[in-house]
Amino acid sequence: MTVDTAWIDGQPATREDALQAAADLLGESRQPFVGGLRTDVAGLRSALSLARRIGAVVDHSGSAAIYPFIVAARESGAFLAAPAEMRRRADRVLIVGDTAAETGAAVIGMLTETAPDLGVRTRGAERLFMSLGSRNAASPGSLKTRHVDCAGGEIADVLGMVRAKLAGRRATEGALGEETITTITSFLTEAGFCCIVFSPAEFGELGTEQIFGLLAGLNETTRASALPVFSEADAMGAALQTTWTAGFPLRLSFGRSTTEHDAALNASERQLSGDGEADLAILVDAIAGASPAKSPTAIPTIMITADPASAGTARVAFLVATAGRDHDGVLYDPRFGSFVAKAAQTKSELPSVAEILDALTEQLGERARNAA
Amino acid sequence: MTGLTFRKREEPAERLDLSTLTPSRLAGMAEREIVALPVGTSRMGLRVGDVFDVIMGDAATICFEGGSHRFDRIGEAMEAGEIVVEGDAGVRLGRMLAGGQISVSGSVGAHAGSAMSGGVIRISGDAGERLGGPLAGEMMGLKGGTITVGGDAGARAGDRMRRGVIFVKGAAGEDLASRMIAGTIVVGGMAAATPGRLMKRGTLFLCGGAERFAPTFVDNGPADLLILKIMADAFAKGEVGEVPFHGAPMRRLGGDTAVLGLGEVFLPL
Amino acid sequence: MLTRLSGGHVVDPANGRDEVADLFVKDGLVVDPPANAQAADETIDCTGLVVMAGAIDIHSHIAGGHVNTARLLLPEWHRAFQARPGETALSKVGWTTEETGLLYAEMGFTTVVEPAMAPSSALHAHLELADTPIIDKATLVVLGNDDMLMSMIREGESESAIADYVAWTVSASRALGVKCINAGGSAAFKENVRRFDFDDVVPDYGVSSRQIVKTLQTAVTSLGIPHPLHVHCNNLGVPGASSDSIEATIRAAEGAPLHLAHIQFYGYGTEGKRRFSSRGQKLAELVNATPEITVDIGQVMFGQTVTISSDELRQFAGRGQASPRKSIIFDHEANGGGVVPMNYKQKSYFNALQWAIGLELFLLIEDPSRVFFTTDHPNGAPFTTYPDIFALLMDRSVRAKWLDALPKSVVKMTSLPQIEREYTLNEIATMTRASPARLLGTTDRGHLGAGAVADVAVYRPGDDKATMFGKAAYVLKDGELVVKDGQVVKRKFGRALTLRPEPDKAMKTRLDRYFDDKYGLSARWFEVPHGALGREDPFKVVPCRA
Repeated sequence: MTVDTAWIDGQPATREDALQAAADLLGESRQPFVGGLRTDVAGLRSALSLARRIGAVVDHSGSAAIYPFIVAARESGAFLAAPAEMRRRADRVLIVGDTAAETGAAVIGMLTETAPDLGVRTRGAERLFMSLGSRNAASPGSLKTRHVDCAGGEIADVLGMVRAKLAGRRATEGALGEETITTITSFLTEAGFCCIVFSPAEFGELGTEQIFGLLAGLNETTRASALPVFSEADAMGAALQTTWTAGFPLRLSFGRSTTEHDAALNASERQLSGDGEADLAILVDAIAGASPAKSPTAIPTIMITADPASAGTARVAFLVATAGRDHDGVLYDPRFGSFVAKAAQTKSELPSVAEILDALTEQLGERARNAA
Repeated sequence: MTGLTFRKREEPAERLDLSTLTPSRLAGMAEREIVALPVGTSRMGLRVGDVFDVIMGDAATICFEGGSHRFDRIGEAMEAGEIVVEGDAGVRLGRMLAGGQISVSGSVGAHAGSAMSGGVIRISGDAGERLGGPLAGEMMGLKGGTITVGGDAGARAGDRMRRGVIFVKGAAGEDLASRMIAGTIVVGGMAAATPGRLMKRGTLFLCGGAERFAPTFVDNGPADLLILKIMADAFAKGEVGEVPFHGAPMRRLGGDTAVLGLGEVFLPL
Repeated sequence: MLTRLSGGHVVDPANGRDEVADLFVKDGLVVDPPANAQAADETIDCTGLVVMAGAIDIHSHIAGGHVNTARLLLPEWHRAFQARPGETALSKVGWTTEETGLLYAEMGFTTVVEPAMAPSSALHAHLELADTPIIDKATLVVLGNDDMLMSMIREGESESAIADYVAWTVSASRALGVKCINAGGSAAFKENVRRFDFDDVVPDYGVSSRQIVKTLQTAVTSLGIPHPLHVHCNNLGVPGASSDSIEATIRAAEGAPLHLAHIQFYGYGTEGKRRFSSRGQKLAELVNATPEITVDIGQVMFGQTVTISSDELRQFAGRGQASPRKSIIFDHEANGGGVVPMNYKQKSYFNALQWAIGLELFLLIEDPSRVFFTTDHPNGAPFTTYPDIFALLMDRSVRAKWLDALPKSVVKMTSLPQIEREYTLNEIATMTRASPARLLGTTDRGHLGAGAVADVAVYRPGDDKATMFGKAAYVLKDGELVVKDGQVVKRKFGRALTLRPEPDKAMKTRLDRYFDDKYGLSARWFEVPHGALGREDPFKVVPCRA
């Protein structure tokens, strides 16, 4: 029995016919969208190359989680750390918000399981944790953890009060009393090297800017940095790659000769909901451990997926291998804060995302030559 | 002689970049040149003639008969002249406007008046997000000139505003005047969420009050009535016109002390 | 296929040629003239044109985490943001890997060295380089603020053990050499030290900057790495302290080769009422008197740019001058770094004097084979300003015009108006072709002798040197015509030039354990596997010296 690896309107098809059908759809499309982008560096390189060729709008399915970070960083700057350096260096860790514990579990784990071993100011001490939010984020009982209870919506305000206090400016009564603000401020200023862990998606652009602003204030006199954590970390890898390839971190359009960027108009959610201009989507979803494909899109879709179950509603679908699992691949790893080459663990006969996208690009080239 | 008119034929299927259709760019152009100007943003390569009937006239006044939420970048970097939109406009209306007037009878998209430095924008309907605000990475929003909105303004109106005046008759969306550097914003209705977040300086008149303020805003008590009267009179004589706080007693808050804290907010007593 | 470049003025100082002659290219290499010149399959008429080897840039930040962060930080300088008051130098440079390759090729540059690759960012840097078309690339890997090295020095480990560590790092990261950036200074900054001199000691390690530099210099020499240790000194940009630091570092070379990067940023004194003066002349004299030293300039040109550096301490200190006012500071393993935008203004006394100091150094350092042509792209200026700098070096009258536009207070503080020297074509070719190849140990390029890779740049000479060098008439890359009349006509991908010293097995085992125990990271993550870059033939190995 052979496994189906391509579908047209839900019916099994040969790869050649499916490529033909996909090329037909692209030929008729006024404004294609290339999204999902849950793939490795090679897959993304091919996706961007195809997108450029067809004048597509491009975004990653997880970019909403990273955008508050990107916007805050590019508008006001940032202090950023590598998790591995914080593992060795940070003597105090402030975990801010209610989602960091889950979103940043891998990164926080690097900190909770170790103690600082670098630096005169930091080495040898037990690492102290403080969590600011509505639940204790660094829960393990053995750790020296202080939990400051604060409703999620008030955290950015509380951090603003800490900034005011650091600068010697007044504030009124907020969610937490003066004494607690002093406790948080001392925790930060008395660190040899303080690390703030937070999920930018929880705090939005302005809340994230508040946190980076706090770090700027702290670094006037002491040392501190941040570890922002993201729910779909591969979106960060994709943002980095589109930045070096096309100049912008996702949410861009190749419709005209110069790449254009608009974080609102080109957002995945807008384009796939049918509120945007896209009339056809190419979606790539082939990364190990990814959450299942989201609800069906409002526009016709060409699906390139490692999950045969998600092929059903697409006009055309291709089954592909998963990078770093079924074949060697380069993927972004949040623990490393950079790209990592991952070797295959299994052997797969399935094509890679890059192979399918390149074949589709090739198909379009052939049609263009035939037409000429 | 009447103005140069672009009459919409049908709703466009893609966003249009109308930034080339300003008085200075169109002055002296023949009709066949104008209809050939590219306005599309997709690979289809749309031109003016594909979307509009062009009725020739003096390019100092440009009229769009029939608007669309996809008519983007109208009046971009215009220095003089007038643009009238009968209908809606898309994003970045009057971005980097330096002079002249733009009026829109309907509503507009995000970033209207983005980083403009002079001139007047009048929007009869609602304004989208980030009214007057900067684009990605830019350090300043509105730098001068006047924007008036007849309806409501979306989130982040006046973001990173540096100078000039924004008057919103209706309500303001969340995070009004975020990161404001200086300038004046008057809102007739309610300001949602926490206005003035991370504002350094600048003045807000929130005539319909605000949902709440961050604790880094400090109440300074009742404001000096005389100063309020002087300001209201000054508005009345200028492009803004009558403002709702005329003659009303107000109290004053200072903030955002998370940053510089030299901003001031006036609220009904 | 045999290609003949006929009748051009061949300027090839490596082979002592400066004459009108034909040049022949076959199968990607320069070949001796065949018996029958008419046998060429293709002839490019170079009559009246200048024929040189492709240029080599030894220090230009074109790829890697910090470079990409600069792209992220400054979307507003991208060309797509229209309706701006005029273009800036930065908007012209382009941002993408693709634009980088094309713009370099159009100027006749065919090899470019990214000089600051962190070991932890090696794969990222190589991924970007693999996406940079046409040119060949190379990287220098950064050591000198890393715990491993400083610990080894503290523990008094043997020179050979340290060399093994350096060899592993170079080999794993696929580098062509080793760079040391504010040795110990970034590590000290993580301990909240705000100023760090050459003989200051990194807290907790008890190791001085001098010890780190000397240790790395010894390791590089003993491994036979052709490129001398590439040093970014302490106190970059600090009036007085910068000049003291570089002087101390030069004296510390002690007869062994050492390369000092972007020395313009160290030519600063504290004289005058603004406490900022030129020590260009003094620094040039010291370089002239120290033959084991090579330097590159890091010329400043006016306009918007962005500084990208793994000197975290310096970038942190410089963030107050950020323009626009935003910056990103990294606390990474080892060096960290920072990205700080900068707008060099012609009307600024400080910036104008920086510009003048760079030119003083270019012109007062006598031996063109020991001074290298850089702007420290994009730190002093984007590489797209190179044509203007060639004109400034080759034409005194161009300098006079620029000087006229500067604040009068600056002109009094520089010897530049008195300097009459004009670089000759031969000296330009030495500085940008022959010597860089020698410095990097890439003997297959930088010259036009038989056997050299056929990377050739052909220029249309004229009085306006900026025009001449801005758009090459023809460029051949590996024998293929890739640029014609300043436009790319064929896209292809070059390779990364790398050393491949055989790493010691025991050191490999030790580092596997070290990265795992200390950082919780796999040592494999610091390696750049051949297959990861998605190009058929991504590397070209350059031999170490025996």
